[in-house]
Amino acid sequence: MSFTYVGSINDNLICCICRATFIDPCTTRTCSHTFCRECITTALSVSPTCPVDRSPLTVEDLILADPVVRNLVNELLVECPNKAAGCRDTPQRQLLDAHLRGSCEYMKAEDTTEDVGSNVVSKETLEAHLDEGVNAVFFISHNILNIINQQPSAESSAVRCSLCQERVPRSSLSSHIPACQDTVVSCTHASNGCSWEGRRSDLSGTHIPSCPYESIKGFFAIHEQKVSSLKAENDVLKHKVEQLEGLVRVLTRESGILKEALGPWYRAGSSGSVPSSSFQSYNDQILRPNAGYATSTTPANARYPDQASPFDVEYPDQMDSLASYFPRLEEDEQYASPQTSTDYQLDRRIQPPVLYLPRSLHPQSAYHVPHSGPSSSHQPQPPSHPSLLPLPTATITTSTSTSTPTLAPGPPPSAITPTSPIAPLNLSGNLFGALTSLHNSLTTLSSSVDSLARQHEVHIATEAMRNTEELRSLRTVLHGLRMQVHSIMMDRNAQMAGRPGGEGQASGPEINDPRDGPWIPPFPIPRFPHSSVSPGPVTKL
Amino acid sequence: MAVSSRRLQKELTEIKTAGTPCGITLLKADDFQTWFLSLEVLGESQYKGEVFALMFRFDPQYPISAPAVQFVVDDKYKAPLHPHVYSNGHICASILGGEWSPVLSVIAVCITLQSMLASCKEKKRPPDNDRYVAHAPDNPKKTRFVYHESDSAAAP
Repeated sequence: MSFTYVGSINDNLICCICRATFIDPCTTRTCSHTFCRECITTALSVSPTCPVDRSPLTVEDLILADPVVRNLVNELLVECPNKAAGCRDTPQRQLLDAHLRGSCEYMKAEDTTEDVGSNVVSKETLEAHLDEGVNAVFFISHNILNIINQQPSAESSAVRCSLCQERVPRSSLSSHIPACQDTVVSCTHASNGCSWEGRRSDLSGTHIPSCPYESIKGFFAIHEQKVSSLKAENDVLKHKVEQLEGLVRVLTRESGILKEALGPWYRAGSSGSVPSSSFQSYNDQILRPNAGYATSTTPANARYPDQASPFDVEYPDQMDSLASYFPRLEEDEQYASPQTSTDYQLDRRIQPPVLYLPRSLHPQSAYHVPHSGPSSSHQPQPPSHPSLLPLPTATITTSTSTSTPTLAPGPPPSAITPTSPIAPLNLSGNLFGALTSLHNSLTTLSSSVDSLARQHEVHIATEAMRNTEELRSLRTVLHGLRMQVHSIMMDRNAQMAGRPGGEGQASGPEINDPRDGPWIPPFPIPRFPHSSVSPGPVTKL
Repeated sequence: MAVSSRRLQKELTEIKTAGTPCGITLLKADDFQTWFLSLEVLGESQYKGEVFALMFRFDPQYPISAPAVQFVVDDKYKAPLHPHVYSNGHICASILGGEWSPVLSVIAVCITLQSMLASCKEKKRPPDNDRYVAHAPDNPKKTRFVYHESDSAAAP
């Protein structure tokens, strides 16, 4: 229903959804925004969020708006809908209904009944009121029928009170009825239990002195006071409980969202001791000294479960899964035994020195340098874990080039690859531990990438050097060959010059006259001095 | 009167009495189904001097449901060159989709689009512009846009 308001409305009383003045305003318990009940209900059915701030909201979070707001809105003046008919009244919005039913002179006739004459003003609603059977109204029920007779514009025609037969002006009929002595009333203590009913004149005269409830009315008063204060307290507490319930609802909703967000890392309740312990254990693993490499993994595992016992059950599992990534026993021996270390040193001398990376920096990484020849038995076999980088399998081949002993042995570039075992993502730990392990894996990964890059550079440099050397040697060889050819040709030439007609004209034009400028050896066929075969045509260089 | 009509009537009255913000003008609002407004970005921006036209289409659930908003592309007006505006005028904006609220209004949408244009650093089309425009529906509300911070993509 739409009203036409008189004057301008304060903006605070406008619903932001329908942009009209509030109708049955309700406020959100969670974020204190007010809307018309219908507007916000419709909005929530589409999206369960507050239209103003998008915070989560449900229909249960709506409570009745503050009475101040309600009163402000209800007391706004509206124009009577019968304005077109001539009614110039501007009652308060809350009183418009009553105005239309009671005092609006321009209402069209709705209905007529048998015992009243003309214009009836919604008699049905009045009779419905009567049917509610309020005790206090009971005694005027008979007189209401008289009031219905009242013309809208009628003023002061006299009517007869049906009970006391007194003639009373119509306008004062309504004030007469509460005072009419003959009306049937109930006892004043009816609220406390007295069931007497009778005429008003009898009430004060005969009943009150004998009413048992009269004598203990003091008690009733005290009792009533206590009850009302209790009721008030009760209401306040109920209100608080409702607020808290709403808050609990919102919090459970939010914690549910958080639970889902955390996923496998969500741990209910007592997880206080666990995070620190698993982090500490992880640190222990990382900082385990290199000497620990020499010991087998079994005592390592045996060592930790002792520490693990006071902590969570998943703790040893975490340890095992990570411990298994450390180099195996046979690999450890490699580094512990002196002969291997010597080989290691030996090879390092041959190779460019850049390969060396202090192992203390990368306790988790195992540098498997290929060993030449006899120590190939120490070739490490990689544990079959998919996350490990491939281990080198090539051995260093002793240099094949003879001309340059300084040539570095030419392993394929992929032979020297640092391996850094990366621990798998452990979801059985806590979030912090998982993040730390990820970070550490990243660190080792980046450092191994760095060393890889460095080694790559080294490879390229050695490759380039080797190529240069080879090129140089080839050039030298070529030069030597050329010199050979040159000397041969010189001899041949000299011979030719010694026997100018002997060999025949065929060879004549093919040989440069030594008298011609600088002699250029013919290309490409070298001529042997004892050959009698005439060479084919030769192109001069 | 439907809810949308009452609300739109209120908005129209407000525009007529209080006027529109700078750069925005009401072109046509004869019924409660389709409105046209013009948009211009004031001050120093990539779109200085350019005037665009917006078409708003309302359904009976307005303001509970969002209006269908797009730039008008015809002889007189063109769609602005913006990473969130497709060449057919469709706009990828969160407030026109998932983040619509009944509290917003036609003017509020215009202001948001104005600031979206004003804050644009680079005039370019969305990365999937051609693909989207080839298969785009008539009503942009039918498109399921994917909203990103820096770029936009449409999943029709």
